[in-house]
Amino acid sequence: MNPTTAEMDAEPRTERTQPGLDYYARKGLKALASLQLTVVLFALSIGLVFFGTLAQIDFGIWKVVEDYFWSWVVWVPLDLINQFGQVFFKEQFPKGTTWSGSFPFPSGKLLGGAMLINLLAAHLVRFRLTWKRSGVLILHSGLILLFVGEFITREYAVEQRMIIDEGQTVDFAEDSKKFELAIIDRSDAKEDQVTSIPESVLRETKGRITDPALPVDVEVVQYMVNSRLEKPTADKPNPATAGNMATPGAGQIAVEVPEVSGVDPNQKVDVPSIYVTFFKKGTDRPLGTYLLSVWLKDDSLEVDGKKYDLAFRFKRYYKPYRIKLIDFRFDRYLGTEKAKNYSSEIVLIDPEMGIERNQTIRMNEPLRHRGETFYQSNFMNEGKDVETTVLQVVKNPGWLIPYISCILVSVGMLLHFGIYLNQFLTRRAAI
Amino acid sequence: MTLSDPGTPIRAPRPTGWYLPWVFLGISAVFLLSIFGRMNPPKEPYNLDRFARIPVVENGRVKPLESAARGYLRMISHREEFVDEKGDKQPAIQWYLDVISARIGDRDAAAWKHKVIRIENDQVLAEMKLVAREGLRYSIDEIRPQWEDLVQKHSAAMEKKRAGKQLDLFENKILELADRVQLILSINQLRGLDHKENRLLLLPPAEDGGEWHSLGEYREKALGDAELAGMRAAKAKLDAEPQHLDRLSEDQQAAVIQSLYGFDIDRLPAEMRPKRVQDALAILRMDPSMIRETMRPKWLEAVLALLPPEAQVEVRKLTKEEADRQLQANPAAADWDRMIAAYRDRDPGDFNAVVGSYRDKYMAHVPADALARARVEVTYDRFAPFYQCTGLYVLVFLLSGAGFILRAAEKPKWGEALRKSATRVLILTFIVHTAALITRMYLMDRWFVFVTNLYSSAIFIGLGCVALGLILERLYPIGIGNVLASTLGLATTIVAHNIASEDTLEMMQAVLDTNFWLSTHVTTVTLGYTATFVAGFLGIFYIAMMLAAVIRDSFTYPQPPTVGPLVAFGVAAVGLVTIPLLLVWQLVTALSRYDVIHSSLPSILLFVLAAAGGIYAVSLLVQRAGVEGGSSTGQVPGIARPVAAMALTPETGKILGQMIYGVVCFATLLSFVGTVLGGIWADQSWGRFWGWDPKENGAVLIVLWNALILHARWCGLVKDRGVAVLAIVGNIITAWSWFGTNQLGIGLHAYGFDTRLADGCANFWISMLVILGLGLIPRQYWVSATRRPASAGATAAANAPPASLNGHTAPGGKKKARQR
Repeated sequence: MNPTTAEMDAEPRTERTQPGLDYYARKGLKALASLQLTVVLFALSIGLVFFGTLAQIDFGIWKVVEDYFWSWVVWVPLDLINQFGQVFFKEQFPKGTTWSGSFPFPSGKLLGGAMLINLLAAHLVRFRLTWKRSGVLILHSGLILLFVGEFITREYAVEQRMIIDEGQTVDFAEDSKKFELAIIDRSDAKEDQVTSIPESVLRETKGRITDPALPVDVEVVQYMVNSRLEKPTADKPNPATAGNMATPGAGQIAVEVPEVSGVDPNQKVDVPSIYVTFFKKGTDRPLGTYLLSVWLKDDSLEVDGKKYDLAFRFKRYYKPYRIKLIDFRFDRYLGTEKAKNYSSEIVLIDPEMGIERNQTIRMNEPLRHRGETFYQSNFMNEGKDVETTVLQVVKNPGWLIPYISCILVSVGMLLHFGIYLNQFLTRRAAI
Repeated sequence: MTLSDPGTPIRAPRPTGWYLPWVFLGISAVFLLSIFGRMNPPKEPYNLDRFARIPVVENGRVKPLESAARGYLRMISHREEFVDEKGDKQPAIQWYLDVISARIGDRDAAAWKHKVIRIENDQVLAEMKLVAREGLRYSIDEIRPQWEDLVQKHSAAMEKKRAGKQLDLFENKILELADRVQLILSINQLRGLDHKENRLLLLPPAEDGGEWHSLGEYREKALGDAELAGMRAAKAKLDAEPQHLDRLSEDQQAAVIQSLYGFDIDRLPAEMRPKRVQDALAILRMDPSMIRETMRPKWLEAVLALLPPEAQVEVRKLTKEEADRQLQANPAAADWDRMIAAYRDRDPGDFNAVVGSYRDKYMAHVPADALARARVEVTYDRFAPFYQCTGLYVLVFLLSGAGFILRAAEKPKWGEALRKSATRVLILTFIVHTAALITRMYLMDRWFVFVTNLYSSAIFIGLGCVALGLILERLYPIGIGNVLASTLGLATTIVAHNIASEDTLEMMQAVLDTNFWLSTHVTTVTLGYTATFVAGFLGIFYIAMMLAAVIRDSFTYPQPPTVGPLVAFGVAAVGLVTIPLLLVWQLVTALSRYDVIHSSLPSILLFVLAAAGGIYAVSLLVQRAGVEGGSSTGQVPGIARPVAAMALTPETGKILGQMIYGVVCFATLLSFVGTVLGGIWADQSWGRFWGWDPKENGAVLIVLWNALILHARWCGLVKDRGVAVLAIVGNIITAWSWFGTNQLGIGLHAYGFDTRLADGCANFWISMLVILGLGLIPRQYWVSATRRPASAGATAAANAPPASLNGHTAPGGKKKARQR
C-alpha cells in the first residue's frame, strides 16, 4: 500500500489534473502535522532525556543542560552506554574500560522546536471546535505554554544569592555562577568606589584590558575555571610576584582542576582563580602579578600612593532594598543532628516603596518581593555566636507560567479522557 | 426446584461452589485474627510485653523500645527475631534485654551465645574460621577467637577508606561485620547506633519541654566522675607522704609499670628502666583530672597498689559509693539499673515491679500524642501488616491460578467460584494494606502523605496496583484483575521488604519536610508509576494469551504446516513457559532475604517449575510434530487444551486492549500532573522549576513514553498488540526511573543506593525484553484472535478494526490501516 492511496482514502482530491501551490502547501502542512512524526519526536526525546541523564555521571548539570537540552545537536559519547552497562551489567561491561567515539543526536532546541511546529501544524490542519476535541485543545495549549515558560525562564531568569550574617544588613546579591574582578577604592569614608571587570571580559580579552574607569591596566595571565590552592614546590614555582600570595613561605599557588561533575553528591561549585598582572596606566611598567581567587581574602594594590582593594569574587548586583537578618534557626529532629527545618527571620527594608516589615523565610516558604523570590538555601557558621544565612534570590518573569500550564493540561486531560470514559461506560451499560 | 418444602417460594439453585468465597474469606480472616492472638511477647516470668512498650527516643522520634530493638536486630541479623540455644524463636526485645544485662567479662552471659550476627560473605566466614550454616548467623562467642584478626582487618580497611580509596567486596563485608559487632557492644553500653543522625535516648525529660538523654552517656559520665573522685582520694593519701614515691622498692616500681603500661619491666633493657620508671612516677604525680580518660583505671590501679591495704579498701568503697550516688541521682536511670540487675539476678518479681511502674513514673513530661503513637507502633510492628499481606497475596494468586486451571479444565462453575474467592480475599487484603498505610501516616503524623521513602513508595505502588486490579476485575470479571493485583501486590511487598531500612518510619530531610507537596506531588507521581506498571503487566498478559493463541491456531490450522508456523509454534510454546518462569525467577531472587522458608527452597521451587514447564513445552512440541504429516483434524489435543482455553479470543483481546488503553490514559494523566507538580515544588523550594535532575528526567520519560503510546495508537501505528508491547517497554522505563536513576549516584533525589537494586533492575529489564521479543510474533500466526465476526463497531477510535481479512496470507501486523 503506498502513501498516495492512503491519502486518497482520507482526503479525496478535487483537482486531479493540476495540483496547485496550495495543494502542495497543504500536503506539506499535513506532513508536518502528522501523528507519526509526533511519535518519532517522542521517541527521540526519550532518547535525548536518557542520554542527558547518563551524561550527568561525567559532567555537571549546567554543562549537560547546555549541551543536551539547550542546543540543536549534541554529540553523544558512546562511552555513556558503556558506563550505563558498568552500573547495571557488571559482568558484561568490565570496569576500567572506556569506549571512544560519539554519535550525533538531535537535542533540546531541535526536538522542542520540531514538537512545537508539529503541534501547531496539527491544530492548524485538524482544527475543529467541537466538544469532543475541547480537552485536546486545552491540554495542548497548556503544553505550548509550558514550552514558552521554559523558554522565558531560560532566557530571562536570573539566579543570585544573598549571604547575610545575623545583625547585618545587605543590599546586594551575588551571582553564583559569574565572577568579577573588583578594584575597590575605600578612601571615601561614606561610600566605596567599586570598579569591576566581569568574568567574560577577563576570559575573552587577549592582552591588556584598559578602561578610563580603571586606575590601572590589567592583563590576565591565567584564568582557571576551577582551582585548588597548594603550597609552591620546586617544580611548581609561585608565579605571583606581588600581593599576599607572593609572600615567601606563606604564599600559595593555584592549580587548575577539572570542572565539577554531576557525580559529586555535594553538588559543589567551581571555584575559579586568576593570575593577573597590573600595569601602571598607559605604560608597560608592571606593578606585579597577583593571585586572586574566590578561595582567598581580598588583596591590595598601591598605585601612586593610593591604596586599592582587589577582590576576585562572585559578581555582585546592588539592590534598591535592604535585608537585615535577625535570626537564623536550624531545627533538628529529637536527639539527632538531622535537619528538620531551616529558617531566617529577616527585616525587609525598601525605602522607595516605604516597606519595612518582618518576615520569616523557610524551606518551601519563600518570600516574594519586586518580582524576585528569596529562598532559604544554605547557612554557615551554624552554632556560633553569629550565624550566617544564604538566601537564593531568583528573578524569573515566567515563574507563574508552569502553574497555569499544569492546570490547563490537567483539566484538558481530565476532560478528554473523561469524555471517552463516559462514552465507554454508557456504551457498556447499553450492552 | 426443591419440592420437599412447598411452603417456601421456589428459589433459584445456588451456583456450584457458592460457599467457597465465604470459606476462603473466613480462613483469611481467622488467619489475621490468629496473628493478633500470638504476636505479643510473654508476660511471664518476665513481663517482656510491658518492657517492650517503654517509650524511648531513637532515630529522631519517640518510639517503643521494641521498635528500636527490632531495628537493631534487623541490622545485625536481617530479621526481627532470633532462635535461642534451645531452638525456640524469640522476639527481638528478649535479645535486647539479654544484651543490655550481659557483662562484658561474663563468658556465660546468654547474649554472647545468641546466634544473631549475619555473615554472608564466604571470604569473611573463612577469615573468621567459621563454617557456613543455614541462616549464616553466628554468636559473639563464635567470633571471639578471631577478634584480633577482625580488629586488624577492620583498621586496615578504615585506613584505606580514609585515604579515599575504593574498598573491595571483602573489605566492605569486614566493615559490615565490625559494624554489627560494634552495634551489639554499643547496645551493651546502653547506647544505640549513636551517630550524628541517630541516637538512642532512654532517659525521658524531667520537666515539660525538657530533653531526652542517653542512658549510656549518663552512666559513663557517672562512673567517670566516681572514678575521678576515687583517684582524688587515692592521690590525697599518696600525697600525705610526699617522699613515698621516691622510695619505691623494685617490686613496687615493676607493679607501677605493669599497671600503667601493661608490660613487665624486666623485658626492657636495663639502661632504659630508670627513665621509664621516672616517666611513670611523673604521671602518678600529676593531678587526676589531667589524666586521659582511657588511662584513668590504670592510673588508679597503679596508685592503689602503692597504698596500704586498708587505704585501698577505703578508696574502692568511696568510688563505689560515689558511683551509686551519681547513678541514683536520676531516678529513671536508677530504675534502669534496677531492671538490669533484677534480670541478671533472675528476679522476675523485682523486674516486673520496676517495669510495671516505669511508664507512670516517668512519662509525665512526654507529649501525650507521642506516647499514643508509640503505643500504636507496638501493635503495628508486631502485627507486621505488610508481611501478612504478602501471604494473603500468595493465596489470592493461587486461588486465581486455580480458577483459570479449572476453567481451562472445563469446570467453569468451580472456576468462577474460585475467581470470586480470590476477589473476596483480595478485598480483605486491600483493606489490611490500606489500614496499614493509614497507620503509617498516623505514626509519622503526616496525613495524606503516602510516600516518604523508597520503602513506602513500593508499599504505595502495591496498593495502587491492587486498587486498579480490583477496578478492572469489577469492570471485566474474568479473573485478570485478580491475577494482576495479586502478582503486583506480592511483588511490591517483597520489593519493599527487601529495601526496608533499619527504620522504615524514618524522619525526612528538611527540604522534603512539607506535607502539602509530599501528599500531592509524590502521591500523584507514584500513582503514575503504578498505572504504568499495571499497563505493562496487562501487556504481559496480552502477550502470554497471544502466544497461547499461536498454539491453538497451529493445532486448528487445517493444512499441514510449513516452516514459518512451526517456528512460531516453537517460539510460542517455549515463550509461554518462559514468561511465568521469568516472573517467578524475579520473585525468587527477591525472596532470598525472607528467612521464613529454607534458603534453597525457592531455588528448588524454581527448578521444579522450570523442569515442569520444560517438559510441558517439549510435549507440546512433540504433539505438534506428531500431528505433522497426518492432516490436522482441527481439534486441539488434550495436552494443549488448557493453553487453548486461555488463548486470546477476539473478545478477550478487545477487553484487554481496552484495559491497557484505559490504564495508559490514566498513567499519562497522573504522571504528567505529578511531574509538573514536582516542578512547582522545586520552584517553591529553590526557585527552579525544572532542574534536569536524573529523577526528574525519569519521571518525564514516563510521561513521554505514555504519550508516545497514546499517539501511536491514535495514528494507527499500533493496535492492541502493539500497545501491549509498548506498555511492556513502559515497565522498563518505570523501573529505570523508580530504581535505576538512583544507582547512578547523581543528584538531589539520589536516596537509597544499593548494588542489589542495580542487579534487580538489570534482571527485570532482561525479562521484559524477552517478553517483548515474544510479543513480536507476526499476526498471521494468531489470526483467529483478531478476526471478529462482523464489526462490533465499539469505541470507534480506540479500537482497532480487524487487521486483515486475508487470513494466513496477509502480511504482518505492521500494516497501516487508516481509521475514519
